Amino acid sequence: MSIFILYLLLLKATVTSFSGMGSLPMVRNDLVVTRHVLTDQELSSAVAVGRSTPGPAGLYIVSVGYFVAGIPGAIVGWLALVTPAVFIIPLLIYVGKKAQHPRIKNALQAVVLAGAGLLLATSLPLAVEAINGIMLGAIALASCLILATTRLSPIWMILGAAAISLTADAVRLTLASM
Amino acid sequence: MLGWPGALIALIAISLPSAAIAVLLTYLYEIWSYHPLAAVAMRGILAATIGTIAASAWVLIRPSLKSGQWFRAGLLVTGAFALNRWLSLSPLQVLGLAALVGLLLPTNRK
Repeated sequence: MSIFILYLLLLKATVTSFSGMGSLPMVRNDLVVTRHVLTDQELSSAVAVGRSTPGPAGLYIVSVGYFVAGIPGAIVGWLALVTPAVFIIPLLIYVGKKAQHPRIKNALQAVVLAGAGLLLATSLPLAVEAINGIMLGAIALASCLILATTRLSPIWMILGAAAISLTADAVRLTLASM
Repeated sequence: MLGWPGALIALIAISLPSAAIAVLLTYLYEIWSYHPLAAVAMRGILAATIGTIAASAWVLIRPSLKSGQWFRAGLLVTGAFALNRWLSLSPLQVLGLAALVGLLLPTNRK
């Protein structure tokens, strides 16, 4: 895949999303399902990297770019992340008052809600790949509940999950050797 | 007041260090992912990642629920889920349909 096409695909994802993670369904559809240049595990790992980094949630796009095309991919990932931000201010000045129209507000709200549905639909195949066992299911559920109800940073979920996984494995090995 | 160049510099200054850290972490992941201990840790990390994705969806839904628009939220979230998951519509098609539905929905709130 050419680096320019990768940039356009990632840009399409960032432009059409209303939140950092909102671009995930588009990225999975274009790079995992349609073009097969990324695996579900790489996509999940990219999200994990993005959530472990101080910065916007959409930063996983940089990691996605790296997985697909190395350093040049990471650069176009970063460019796709910042390009919408460059144009958002003039766009807001231009459409600012129009966006206050009730029907436009309705449409924007509908797109955001549909984006949530798409995120949940995208998380299913990723969950099938990543969660095999009760402990991993409990980790996923706990991290979801904690993030939904507190202001804790996702980095603590990532670190906690790694610690629990390593501890459980150590306990399992100890019991097996007894 | 630097205007556009200032805004551009600020954007780069804010996003570039985080992007560099993301590249470094991805590089380290690629190197260590085959190490047995790292693979064990990654199993937990990837499970937690699924939780963070679901929590991100909740963050998008919560404002509509808080304003009492349960039916609207339920319709659009489950509708988008079903259209993408079972009718295989692409995310762009689903978002386009959602915008159309939003234009047609009644505008009087609560």
